[in-house]
Amino acid sequence: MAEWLSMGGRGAYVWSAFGITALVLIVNWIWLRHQISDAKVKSKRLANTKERT
Amino acid sequence: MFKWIHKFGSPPFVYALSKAISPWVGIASLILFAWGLYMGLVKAPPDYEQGEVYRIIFVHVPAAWMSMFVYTVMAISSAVFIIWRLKLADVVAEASAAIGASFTFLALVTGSIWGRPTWGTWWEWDARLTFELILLFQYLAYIALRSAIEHKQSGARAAAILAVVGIVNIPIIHFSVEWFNSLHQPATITRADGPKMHPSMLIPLFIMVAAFQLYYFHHLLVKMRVGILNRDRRARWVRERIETKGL
Repeated sequence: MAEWLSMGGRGAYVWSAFGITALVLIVNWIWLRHQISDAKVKSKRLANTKERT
Repeated sequence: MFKWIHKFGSPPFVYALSKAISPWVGIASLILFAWGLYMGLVKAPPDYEQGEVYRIIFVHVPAAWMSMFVYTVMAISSAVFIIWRLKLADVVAEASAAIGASFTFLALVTGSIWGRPTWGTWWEWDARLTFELILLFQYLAYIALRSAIEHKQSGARAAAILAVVGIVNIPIIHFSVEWFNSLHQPATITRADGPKMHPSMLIPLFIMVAAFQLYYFHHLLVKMRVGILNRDRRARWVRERIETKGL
């Protein structure tokens, strides 16, 4: 396991590349969930406002 | 015969379709990521020249390919928007910009990390690297231009023209390793005589490319729903959908 993690002494390069990739993809996904949730809330709020008037 | 194509110009249809298929596309992407990472990090053998550090290829190459693919999607949908004034085409372009910029950023950063131990430098003003950096600026310029113009229609149109004009950079990036004296490795996969990579490395690479593709499609589908809701919030079909299906 330790040998695999060290990646022949190049572990810092390999794992930082994969780590940054994972971080960017996860952050993008979280931001996407926030955007769709926000859009739905605004649409529902507008629909409720129109119903009351 | 082609009547069904017209449905894809309808926001309520595209919204419902996106909501139905985007979860499955996302799950498929996750499965492919898990499989690709296992194959690439565990099963694939070390490279005879670069040893283990070559494994960065399994994120660098998919990110680079996607950076160009997404820009192509953005440019084509922008052209459709300009020519046929199809609003959903503009939704596709807008939805693609940020994720395309992310892929380009990843291609540059992972490439830089790979370059340090192999070329001895984090950056070189090499043709491919430079034009890929220009691609990142193109994405950022598209996003900035849309936000800068107050009138949304004008902003969309200006950004669409920018996207279409910028497509010229895509073949330059692709052929730069042939046209210029480049430090970057020439093509090993997209060659006329077939890929020069061993299947034990090629298969994990293709799995990761598929994972990135499906990640993008999931992102695009959900982001299109955001774009449709932001534009059609006051439309009757949205109110009816809220009443019947909760949106």
